Amino acid sequence: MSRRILGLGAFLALGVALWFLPLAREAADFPIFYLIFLYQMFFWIAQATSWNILTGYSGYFSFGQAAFFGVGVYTSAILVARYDMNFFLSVPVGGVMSMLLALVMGFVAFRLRALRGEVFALLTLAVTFVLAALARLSSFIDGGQGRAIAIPEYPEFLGEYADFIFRLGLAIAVIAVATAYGIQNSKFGRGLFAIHDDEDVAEALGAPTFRYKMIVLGLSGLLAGAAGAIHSLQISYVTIEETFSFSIPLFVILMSTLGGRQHWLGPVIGAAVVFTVQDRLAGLGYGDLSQILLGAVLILSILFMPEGLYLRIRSRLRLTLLIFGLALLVQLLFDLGGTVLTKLVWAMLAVFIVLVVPTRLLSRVPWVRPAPPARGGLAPIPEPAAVVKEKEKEMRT
Amino acid sequence: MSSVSDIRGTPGAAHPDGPVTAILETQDIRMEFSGVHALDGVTLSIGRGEIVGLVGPNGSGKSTLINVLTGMFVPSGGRVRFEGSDITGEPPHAVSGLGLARTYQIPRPFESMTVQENVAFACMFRSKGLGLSDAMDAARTYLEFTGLSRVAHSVPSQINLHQRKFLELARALATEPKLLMLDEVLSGLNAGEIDESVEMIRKIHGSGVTLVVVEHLMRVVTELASRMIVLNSGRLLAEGPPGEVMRDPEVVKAYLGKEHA
Repeated sequence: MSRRILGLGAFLALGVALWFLPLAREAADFPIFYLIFLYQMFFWIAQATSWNILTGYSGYFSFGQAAFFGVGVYTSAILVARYDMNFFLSVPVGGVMSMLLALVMGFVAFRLRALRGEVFALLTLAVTFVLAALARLSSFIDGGQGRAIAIPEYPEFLGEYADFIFRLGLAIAVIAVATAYGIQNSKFGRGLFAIHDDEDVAEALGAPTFRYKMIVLGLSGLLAGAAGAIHSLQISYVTIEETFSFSIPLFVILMSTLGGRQHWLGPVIGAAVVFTVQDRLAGLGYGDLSQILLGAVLILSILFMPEGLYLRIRSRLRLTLLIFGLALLVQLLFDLGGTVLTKLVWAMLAVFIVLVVPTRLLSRVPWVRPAPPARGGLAPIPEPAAVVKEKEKEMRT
Repeated sequence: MSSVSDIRGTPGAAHPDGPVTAILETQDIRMEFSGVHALDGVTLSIGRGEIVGLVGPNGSGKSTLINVLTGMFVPSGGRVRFEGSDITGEPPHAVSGLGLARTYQIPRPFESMTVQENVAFACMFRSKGLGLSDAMDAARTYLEFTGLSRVAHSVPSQINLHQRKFLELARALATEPKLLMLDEVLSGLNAGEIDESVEMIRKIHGSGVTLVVVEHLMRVVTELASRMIVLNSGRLLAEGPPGEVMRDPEVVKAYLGKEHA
C-alpha cells in the first residue's frame, strides 16, 4: 500500500515538475522545439492510453481511434471558429461528443452478441470511414477544403504559445494516465481484465459486463476526443485526410503493444519510445527508414516480448540501465554528433535489442542472470508485510 | 462460509414429512437454435436443500438447461423462477447475485490472474461484494476448503486438471450461492480424486447449499443424489429416486439403446 502511495506521489510530483519546465526555457536557454516535441509526446501518451484502457484492458480490439480523435478535433474547430466558443470549453465538449459516439457504437455492438471479436474491430473501422465521408460531404463540418484554426486567447500565466500547448498536453496526458492507473487498481479494472480473459465467465460470476464495457468505451472516447480538441490547436489547419487518417489507430496500437497492453505504464513507455524514434529519424531525413524500423520493432516484440517493454524492463532493470548508460556514454566519449534526442534514440534502440532477446538465450551469456519473464496481466499481488520485510533483510545482507 | 450455512435454519427449509419448498422452478422451458429444439418444454422443480442429479445422454440438453437457468441464454419460451421470483431474461450477473452459481465442465479460469485472484474476483462481484484487498483475504477461505492454498499464487496454466476443476468449485463457492450447479465436475478425474471430490460435494451440501449435479458417471450420481432428473432430446424423460429412475425402461433405452430395454 505504501509503495502505491509512493508511486502516486512520484507521478504527481513529475506532473507538477513538468508544469514548471517552461520556466527553464528563459532561465537556461531551453529551446522551444523541446516543448513542442514534448507536447506531441504527451498527445500520443494520451491517445495510446485512451486506446489501451479499452483494448488492452477489456480486450475489445479497436481500429476506431481516429474516429474518437477526429470528433474531438472537428467539434472544437467548429465550435471555436463558427460559434466563437471559448476554446477551453470546447475541449470538454469535444471529449463529450466523442464519448457520445463511443456510447452509441457500444450500445449497438455490445447489445448484439454477434459483434464480438473481429466484428467489433471492423465496426470501429467502418465508423471512421463513415465519419470521414460525412465530413467531406458536409460543408458545415469541413466540405473537403480543410479548416483553419486560430490560436485562442488564453490567460497569461500559461506563457507563450509553446508553453501553453505544452501545458495543455501535459494536463491531458496526466488525466489520461491517472485514469488508466485508477482503473487498473480498482474492482472495475479487475472486471475489465476478466472480460479480456473470458467475458461469459466474468458475467456469470456477477460482473455487469455490459455496463463495464460501455463505461470503458465512453472513457476511451472522452479522453481521445479531449486530446483531439487540444491537438486541433497544434495542427492549426485541420484536414479530413490527416484527421481520420489510418496512421492514428496504427500508431496507438504499435505504441501500446510495444510498451505492454496490460499495465497502465505500457502505453506511456511505448508512446514515448515510438514517438521519439519516429520523430527524430524523420527529422534526420530517414522517414522511410523509421517506418521499416518501427515495423520490424513491432514484429520482434510480438514474437519475443509479448508482455511488452514495461514488464521486460522491470525484469531486466539493471541490464537496461547499464546498456542505456553505456550507449549514451559511447556516443558522448567518441563525439558521434547529433543532438541529445538523437543520442537518446540510438540508446533506446540499443536497449530494445538487448530487451527483445528471449530469456532462454540471454541466460547463456555467462555474467548475465536474467529474471524469469514477468507475468502479463494484472498488477503484482501485494505481498504480505512479513514477506516484504524478510526480502529486505535478504537484500541488506 | 458462515452465511451459506444460515440458510439451513431459515423457514421454508425442507421438512422430513412436509412438502419441500422449491428454490428453483421452471415452467415449459423451450430453447430453439435456428430451428433445432435444444429444449422442448422442460418443467421441473428443485427443492431447497436437495441434491438433484441431472443426467441424460450427450446432446440431451443438460448444458443448455444450465445456460438457460443461469441467464446465459434467454429461453425462446417458458419461465424460470428462483426463490419465488421470476428471473427469466435476467442477465447472468443478476442471477448470480441472487445466489445461483455454476461450474463449467471444461474449467474456464481467468488465465491472466493467479488462482487466488480468480477466487477473489468472485468475492468482489457477489451480491455483497468485497473491495480489492478484502476479496484477496476472503479468497483464502475457499482455497483452503478446496485444498488449493499451495497453488494460490500460480497462474491457471501451471496447475493440473484436478486443481483446475477445484478452482472452478472454489470460484463458484466464493459467490456464496444458495443453489450451485456442478457441470460434470468429476469427468477426467481418477478414482482417488473422484472420492475426494464426492467428499467435498457432500461438505458443500452440508453447509446448506442446494446442489444440481450434472454428471455422466452414473455410479457417483446415484450415490450422491436424493433425486434424479433424466433429460432426453430436450425433454424430461424421468424423474424420481435414483434406484427407481435407473430401472425405468425408458431411461435404460435412452442410455443403452433399444436392445437392452
